[in-house]
Amino acid sequence: MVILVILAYALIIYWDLIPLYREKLWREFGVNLALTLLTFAIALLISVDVAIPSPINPIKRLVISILGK
Amino acid sequence: MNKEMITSKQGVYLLTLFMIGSNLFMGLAPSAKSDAWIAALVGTLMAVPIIFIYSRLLSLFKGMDIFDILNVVFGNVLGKIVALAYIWYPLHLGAMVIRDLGEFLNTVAMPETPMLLPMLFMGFLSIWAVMAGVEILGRCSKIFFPIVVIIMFITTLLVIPYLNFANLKPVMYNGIGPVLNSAFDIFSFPLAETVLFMAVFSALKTDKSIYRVYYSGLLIFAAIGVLLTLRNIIVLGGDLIGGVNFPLYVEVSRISIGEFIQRIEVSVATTFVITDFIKVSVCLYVTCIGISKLFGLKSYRSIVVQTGLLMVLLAYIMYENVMDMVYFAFEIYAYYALPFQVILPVIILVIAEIRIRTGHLPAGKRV
Repeated sequence: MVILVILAYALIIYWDLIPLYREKLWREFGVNLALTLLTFAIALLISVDVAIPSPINPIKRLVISILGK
Repeated sequence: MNKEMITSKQGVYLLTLFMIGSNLFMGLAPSAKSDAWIAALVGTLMAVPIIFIYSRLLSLFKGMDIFDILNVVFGNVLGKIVALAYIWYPLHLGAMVIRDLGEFLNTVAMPETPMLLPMLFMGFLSIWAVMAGVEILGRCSKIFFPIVVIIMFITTLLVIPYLNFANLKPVMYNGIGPVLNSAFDIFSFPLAETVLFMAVFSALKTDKSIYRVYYSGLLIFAAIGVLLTLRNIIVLGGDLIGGVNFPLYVEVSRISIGEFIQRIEVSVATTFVITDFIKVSVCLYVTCIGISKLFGLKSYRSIVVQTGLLMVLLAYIMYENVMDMVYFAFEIYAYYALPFQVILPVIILVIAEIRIRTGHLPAGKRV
């Protein structure tokens, strides 16, 4: 699984990120790089079966604390 | 002017498919049981003023999307902070819809397949569509809308032998409270989500008024939604609708005519996938537009792939199981979405009106 994820990301970076670098679109490259790193981290963690805490839980707690359910 | 455009008809279809989205299959307002159809009517009435606010904002600032409007109304810094909310909301909404699809396929069609797989494919499809641009989305919806309507119509004809009108009674046995509660659910789950179209309809060829596009979409959805909810109740009965996760699917799976026409619930699954695809694509499009406007990128296309992947991964880690999903969608979501759907648009409209009246902003500027 881990190898699959790394291979897939190598392909994505080759197709999606390198052209931006070549065309010297630095803003696009920066934003894309940040997003790539974020999704790569999540995908890698999922592939090694780490339970990632859901970002929904704080929202749930906030709403419940406001409504007082 | 080399800008992507959709016609107003395509806009209406896109809006309708977006609203049908995933929620019709999860059942509109299951907690109202046999009064769900009244709740759907009341919910539509509740949506009329809020949709007036959206279209008023769009017609005040013609040719601008919501991120431009935020920038103009709030100024550069505050506008970007508020824009963050409208980047997170479609991202989360799209993830919810993708997760709906994953849970649906996992529950009824492919229980052995890992849930990530159908979600990934839906993500790829949406990434492809959004890369192609909003024009493609408009054309897609023009093709898909008749398919969805025809499938709904045929299944309605086929369930006629199973109609049991006694299921409608007693009307409002538990009083008006649960009905209003679920009307609010319907208001926030499909109807007021159209706030996202404030970012899409800047691509609208506005030879007609934007009010007309918004309200025709609302009317078509209200007709389809109320009829299908009524049909669900009459065939299955209110108690069962409250108990199953995908009532429309269960209902159509009962059809067996002459032992020849049966197992046609796959048609419902088809419409589910179609409308889900449209909804995810619109959410992804809005998120990408938002991010590109936030960072001042030249085109939103350079970040579509990563944003789409982020959406799919978020959908995967969001809930632990289907009960978690149903709990969030029906108990929490309506209140969580209220700031994005009602409070912020009202604030934006009030400030915009004040600033236009006092002459700080030019009204009706066409970009």
